[in-house]
Amino acid sequence: MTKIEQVDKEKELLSKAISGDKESFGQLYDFYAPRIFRYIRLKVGSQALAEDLTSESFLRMWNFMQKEGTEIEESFKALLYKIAKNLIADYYKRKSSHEVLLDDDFKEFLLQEPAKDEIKSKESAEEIHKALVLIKEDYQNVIIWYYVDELSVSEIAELMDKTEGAVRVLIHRALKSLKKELE
Amino acid sequence: MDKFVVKKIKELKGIKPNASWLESQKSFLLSEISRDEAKKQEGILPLPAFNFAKLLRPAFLTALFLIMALSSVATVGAIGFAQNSLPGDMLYPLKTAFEKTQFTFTSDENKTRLSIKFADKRIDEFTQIVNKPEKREDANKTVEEFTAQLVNAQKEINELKEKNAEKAAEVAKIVQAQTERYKETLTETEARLAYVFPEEKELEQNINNAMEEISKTEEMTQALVGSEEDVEIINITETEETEEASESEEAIVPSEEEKPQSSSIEFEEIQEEPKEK
Repeated sequence: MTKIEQVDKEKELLSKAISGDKESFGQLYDFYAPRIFRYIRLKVGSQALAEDLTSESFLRMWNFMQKEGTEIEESFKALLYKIAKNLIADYYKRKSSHEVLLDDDFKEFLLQEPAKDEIKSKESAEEIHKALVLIKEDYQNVIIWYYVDELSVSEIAELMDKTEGAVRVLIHRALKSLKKELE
Repeated sequence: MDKFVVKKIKELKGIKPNASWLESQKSFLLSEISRDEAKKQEGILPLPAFNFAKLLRPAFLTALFLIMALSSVATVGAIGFAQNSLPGDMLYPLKTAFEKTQFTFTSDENKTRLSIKFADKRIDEFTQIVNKPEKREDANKTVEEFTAQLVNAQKEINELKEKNAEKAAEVAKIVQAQTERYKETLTETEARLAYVFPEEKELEQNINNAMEEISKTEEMTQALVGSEEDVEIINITETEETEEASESEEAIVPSEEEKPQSSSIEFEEIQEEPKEK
């Protein structure tokens, strides 16, 4: 499916879901749940917490859709990521420090299906994650969204309420910041 | 250098959620949506737990803060947010709804174990909140839930008994191991109640109901565990009679059938305990 076809399909599913079609919401969940989980997981460092916040994101999304209905102008994707981003921010507001704990299960998590040739790449994934959590919040977000989740610059702009130009600059600076942490 | 870093970043794509969690959460979400839809049609307000968008953000943040404050886990990274929530907390309905989903997908054989696991959770939650006046109503509901889980366990054991008596006895043993702890916990809590809120007649009544169900469960499990051992006693008796009748001069070697004798002695000891009490 091309990107345009995907966008159209998503609009159709969103429209049906707003009307109360659970099946359509289920399809949107199927596509986005793993992505939202991955984003949250990278930000909060705990599997259980990421699971809870992912569930919470979808519940809030459903409620928002039923409340706002056809007034929704943003894409499902943008809204969902915004909700997830806000939930993470809320979580951190209640923490004493902004430290993201790289708990023991993360290593295990990365090595869930270790094949000999994959172990090395899993270890470098852990190295990248350790560096990622040290850079600014916005930098972390754009790196995950652009390179991991493969959102487009315009999608990220919509999500962050910024211009596309500002997002490009942010991505460039984020990468620079991350490279510094890796050195 | 950029390409190298980007390549490394893309390795993070490998992070995936647990497949069974993904599936069970979907079922949970869709069932919550259906329930919400059904209630809307009946004109009843949706459950607060589901209606997050209508809740004031500060209320949610307060609940989040309460969860953090109540949590006794040292490292934040290890907190399962909803899993550690207590009755009355914002995410608590998420926890119980997830338990219901687990129950739906578990086999009949394992339903009793799950009911007891949930009963354990309810009793633990109860001990954590019973002294908090602001959680009075939640404490009542938690005890009721605990009692309901025992009633479920009894029903499931009865059903299992019809299909497979041996398995039923096995499960009964597990349940039996827990009932003593439940009795102690509730007795201790009841004693403390008089000092905290003497007027709480409803809670007292709920605790009495829970104690009754514990006793019923105890009787049922003892009967089941006992009946399995009764069968073994009968077998031993028949074997002994057969051996006595035999005129064989072969040396009597302890057979497999004689081994259960020790468990029959245990049974007698167990029988005595309640009388002593």
